[in-house]
Amino acid sequence: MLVSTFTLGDLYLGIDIVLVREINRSMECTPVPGSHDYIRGMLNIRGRVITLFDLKKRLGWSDNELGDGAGIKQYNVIMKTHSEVLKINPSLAETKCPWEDPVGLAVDQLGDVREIVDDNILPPPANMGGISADFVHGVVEFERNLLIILDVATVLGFDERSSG
Amino acid sequence: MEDEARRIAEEIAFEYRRQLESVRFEKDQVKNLVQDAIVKLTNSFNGLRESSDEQLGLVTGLTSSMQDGDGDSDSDKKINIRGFVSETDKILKTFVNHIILVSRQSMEMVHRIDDLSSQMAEIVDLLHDINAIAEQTNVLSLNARIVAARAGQAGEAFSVVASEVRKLARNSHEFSDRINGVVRNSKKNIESAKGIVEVMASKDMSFAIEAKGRVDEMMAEVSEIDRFTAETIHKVTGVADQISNQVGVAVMSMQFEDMVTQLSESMEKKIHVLENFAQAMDPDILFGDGLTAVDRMQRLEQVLEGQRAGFNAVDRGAVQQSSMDEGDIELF
Amino acid sequence: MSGTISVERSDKETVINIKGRFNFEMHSQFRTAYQEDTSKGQKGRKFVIDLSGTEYIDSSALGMLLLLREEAGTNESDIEIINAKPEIRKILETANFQRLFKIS
Repeated sequence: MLVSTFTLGDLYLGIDIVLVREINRSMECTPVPGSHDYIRGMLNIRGRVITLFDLKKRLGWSDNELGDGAGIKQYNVIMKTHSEVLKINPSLAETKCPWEDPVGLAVDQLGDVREIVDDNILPPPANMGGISADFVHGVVEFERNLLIILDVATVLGFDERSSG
Repeated sequence: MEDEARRIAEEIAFEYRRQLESVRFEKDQVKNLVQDAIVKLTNSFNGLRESSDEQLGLVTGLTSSMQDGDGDSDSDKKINIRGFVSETDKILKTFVNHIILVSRQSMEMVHRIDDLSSQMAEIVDLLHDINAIAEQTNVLSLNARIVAARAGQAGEAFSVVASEVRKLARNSHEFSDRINGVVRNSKKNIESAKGIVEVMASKDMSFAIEAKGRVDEMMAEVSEIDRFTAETIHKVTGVADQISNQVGVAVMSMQFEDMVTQLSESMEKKIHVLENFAQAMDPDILFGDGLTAVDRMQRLEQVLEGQRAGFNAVDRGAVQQSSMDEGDIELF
Repeated sequence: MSGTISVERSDKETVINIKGRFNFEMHSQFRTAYQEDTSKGQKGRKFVIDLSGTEYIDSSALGMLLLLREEAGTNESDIEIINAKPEIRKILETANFQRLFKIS
């Protein structure tokens, strides 16, 4: 499988590339009053309105761990929707992509695209710093780094077990 | 009886001649003493005048060597205060000029360095632009790979191109980071160069003012010394002139040597006349045989006349003067 | 510790007023003060350097004045240094500046 990688603080994260629609430099977004604090706001990209998640806040990082967020230039990873993934990989759409609304995740630095052999994917270790095992699909040891493959559905608030 | 008288007369004549000889001897002694004294005194006065002239020459020479100004080639080796002070003044001016020249050059260098710094800043701006382009390219290549992934097998080649583009973007980013590092180092070096130039350019000028003041003071002192020296030389010259005049008067007074000689010659002649008188007063006139009393009287009369005439002749020939004032002596 | 520079410009004249210490640290300010006029290459402009508020001057300041004179066109330039305090005037005179500038 191909994984699009990026960083979040010290974490090295990856998302199945089939789930990714596009990547943009961070841009102005409109805050949504009354929403969760991890919803940064609404983005308008070429006429599509996208809900942008602040990934750090979603992972429950404290203000201290957030660091001096204002100074860091971030990127937005815009996700495909369920129906878009369905056209490419129906089984993946059913198991990993339950969302229909356009969403995006704010991350720190962009990485690369990595080819990963499925057999090398390990279950998340018990004591990982900075991220709950619920959000992790699995980990791969990669050039002395631990690449954490995100379970985007859980991150976006869909309970994988209930959805099947 | 007569023999006895003749013997006495002869003794008188002899004694008369002996005494005249003594007078002549003392006269010669006086003449010699006076002449000797005159020569010595004249020499001594002339010596005094020469010494005085020499003294004046020495004083003038000494002071002029102190005063003599702008070290012409002959007197280069002589130490003179005015020359020394004006040389110091020249050196000070040259020194000040050099400092200012160095400062001027340094400030120009600083201007160039500042220009360089702002050009460096432009480079940094350009590098930011390059980085932004690299970053956009990076995002673009990632998106290209996302699109390629959707195309599956068909997107493979496209994906390779996209990943090459991404490598280029990363290279260009690294390249501009390296340039940025070099520029940053250059900026550090430029700043330190500026610090060095600052030290060269910035000299406190108060030393020059103090030194200039000191030189001016010295110049004033030298002028005062010059004034005093000129005054002193004037006085010394005056004294030397006085000495010269007085020596002149003294030397002039010494010219009575001629008179002494003339008087001495006159005395000699008179002594000679007196000697003739002794000869003329032959005892035969008084005591000779065969002479009548009339003859004796006539002979005595003749002796007296001859003696009177001889003496008067000498007396008339003698210089008729007894003091310098009456003489017509050519001085010098 | 360094000084400040203020500039007044009229049609024909630029008055540069230097307060405090006129030393190396002033070089940027001083250059900026005249560069606007000299960079245009316009001749015959008069510069007045007002030193009434200047407390100290060192050789780098003398260097800067010489550069102003050159950049303003050496002989054609008309540069006047005014209101210098006696100590500063002495420095200018020791540097023989009265031959290059009008000092009053």
